[in-house]
Amino acid sequence: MTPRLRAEELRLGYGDSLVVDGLDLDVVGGTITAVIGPNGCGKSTLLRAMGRLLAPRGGQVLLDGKRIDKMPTREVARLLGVLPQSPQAPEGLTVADLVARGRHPHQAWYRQWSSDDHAAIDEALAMTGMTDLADRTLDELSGGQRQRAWISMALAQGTELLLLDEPTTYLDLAHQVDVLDLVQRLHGELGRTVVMVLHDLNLAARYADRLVALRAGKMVAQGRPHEVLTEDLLREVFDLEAKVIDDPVAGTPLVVPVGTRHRT
Amino acid sequence: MGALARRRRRRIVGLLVLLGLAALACLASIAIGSKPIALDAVWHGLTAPTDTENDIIVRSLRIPRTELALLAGAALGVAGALIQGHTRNPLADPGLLGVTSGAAFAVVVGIFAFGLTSLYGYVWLAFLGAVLTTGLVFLLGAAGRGGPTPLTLALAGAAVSALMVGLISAMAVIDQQSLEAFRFWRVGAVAGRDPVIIGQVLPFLAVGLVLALANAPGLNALSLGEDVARSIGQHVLRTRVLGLVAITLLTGGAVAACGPIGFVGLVVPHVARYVTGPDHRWLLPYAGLIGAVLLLVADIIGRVIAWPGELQVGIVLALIGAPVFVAIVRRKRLVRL
Repeated sequence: MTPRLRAEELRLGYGDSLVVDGLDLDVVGGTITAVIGPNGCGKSTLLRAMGRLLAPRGGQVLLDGKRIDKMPTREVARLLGVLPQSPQAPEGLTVADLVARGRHPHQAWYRQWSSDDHAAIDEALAMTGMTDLADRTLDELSGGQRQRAWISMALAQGTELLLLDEPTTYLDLAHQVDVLDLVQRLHGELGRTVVMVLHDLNLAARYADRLVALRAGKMVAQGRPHEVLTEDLLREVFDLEAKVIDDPVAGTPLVVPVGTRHRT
Repeated sequence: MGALARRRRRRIVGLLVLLGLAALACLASIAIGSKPIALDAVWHGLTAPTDTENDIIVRSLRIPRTELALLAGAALGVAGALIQGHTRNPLADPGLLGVTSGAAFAVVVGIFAFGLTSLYGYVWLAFLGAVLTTGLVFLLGAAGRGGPTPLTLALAGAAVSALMVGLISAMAVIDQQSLEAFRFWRVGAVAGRDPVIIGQVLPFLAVGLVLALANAPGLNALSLGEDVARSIGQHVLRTRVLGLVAITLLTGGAVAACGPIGFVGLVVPHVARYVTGPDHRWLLPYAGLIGAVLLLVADIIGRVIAWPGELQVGIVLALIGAPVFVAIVRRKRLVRL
C-alpha cells in the first residue's frame, strides 16, 4: 500500500539543537497511528513537521507523494488538519464560531459562505455531540467539551488526514476515553487517517492500529501494538521496568509498571 | 442555526445605528462651533453657498474639520483593532510599532535640520517617518529566529519609540524654534487643517481601510494561534505583513494630518469588541464607526467646553478618554485576546 503521508530521513530541530535525526515514517491511509515516547523525545516536533508547521533541516515530508513544503498552504489545509496541544482561542468565541473557522481553507474573499460550509459545520457538531453547546463560548465549557469543540473544528475542515498532538492532555480518564472513542469513530465511520501523539501507553495500544516508539529523536520500533509494547522495549525506550499483560477488555497489551517498591 | 442568524441580524442593525450616529455627529460638527450660526444659515452654507461670512466658515472651516475627524477617527479605530488583534495584546495601541513617534521624529528633524515651517511639508515628512519607522521595527522584530512574533514586534516597537522620543527631546532642547513648532504639532488636532491635506492623506487611508478589511479573515485564523492558523490554510507571514501595512497606512495617515491623537486606537476596539465579540470581520467596521463618532464628539466638546476659545481634540480625548478607560477596565474585565 502506498502511504498517504511519509517522512524520509527527516532531521528536525530548533535553533542549534537537533531534536529528530534521520527518521523515516510511513502513514498508510485509513489507519490510526499513535506516536509514543518519553518527554522530550521529539514526538510533537515530528507531528509538527508532518503537518507542515515546522520546516525540516533535512529530509522531506511527502503528502500523497508530493513534497508538502512545495504545496500551497491552502491545498495542504484541505487534505490535512493539525490540532496542536492545548490550543488557545480568544475570549468570547462561541463553539459555532470556532467550528466555522475550520472552513477557512474552503473560503475565499469572494466566497465567504456556502451551503457546503453549513452542512460541514452541522455534521461536525453532531458527530462530536456539540450541537446543543454550539452557542456557548469556549471559556464556559469543561476541558473535555472544549477538546471536543476543537476536534469538531478540525472535522469541519473536512480533511482525510488528522494529526492530533496529545488530544487527551489535562483530561480525566473518563474524558480521555470519551475523546479517543470519538477519534475511533472518525476513523471507523468517516474513514479518516489519524496520527496522534499519546502519553498513555495503554490507551495508545487500545486505540491505535500502529504504534511508533521514539527515543531521543530516533525511531526505536514501529508496528502493531503487540509487536511494539514489549517489556524489552519499555526498558529500552522509557527506562521502565514493567510487566506487559493482556488487557482483559480489549486483548491489547496492558503495561503494568513495577516501580521501586515492588522491585525484586 | 437560529441563534447565529439572530446574532447576524443584531450586528447589522448595530452597524446601521452606528452609521446613523456618525451622520448625526457629522451634522452636529458642522452646526456647532465657537461662532454661533443658526441652523438655517448652516443649511444655506451647505446647499447654496455664497460669500457671506457664515457660509465661508461652514464650507472652508467646519466641513474640512468634520471630514478629517471622521476619517482620522475611523482610521485610528480600525488600526487599533488590527494592532490589538495582531499582537493579542489588549493594551496595544496603533503607536505600538513606532508609527507615531516615527512621524513626530521626522517632523522635528524637518524643523530642526531643514527649517521647515509649512504644514504641507509636515504631512509628507510625518508620513515618511511613520512608514520608515514601521519598516525598521518590522525588520528588527523579524530578525530573530522565529520570525516576526507579537512579542518581538512589540519589543522592537518600544525600543525604537524610546530612541525616537529621546532624539526628539534632544533636538527640542537644543533648538528653541523646533520646540515651538513641535509644540503645536504635538497636540493632535483636526481644526485648522487645509482641505488640501485631507486630499493628500485620503488615498492612504482608503487603501489602508481596504487592506484592513481584507486582513479580517486571516486575523480571525491567527487569533487561534499560529499553528492552528497555518493548519487551516492561512499564510502567517503574509497575513502579518498585510496587517502591518494597513496599520501603518491608517495610523501614518491620521498622524500626518492631525498629529498624534491618543486613546481612540486604544479604547475604541474594546468598546467594539464588547458588542461584536472576537470576529474581526465585524469588529473592524464597528471599530471604524465608533472611532469616527468618538473623535467627532470629542472635537465638538472641545469647541463648546472652552467657549469662545477651543480645546484641541487630542487634549479633550485625553481628559475624557482616561476616565472612560478606567471605567471600562473596572466595569468589565479586559477581554483576553
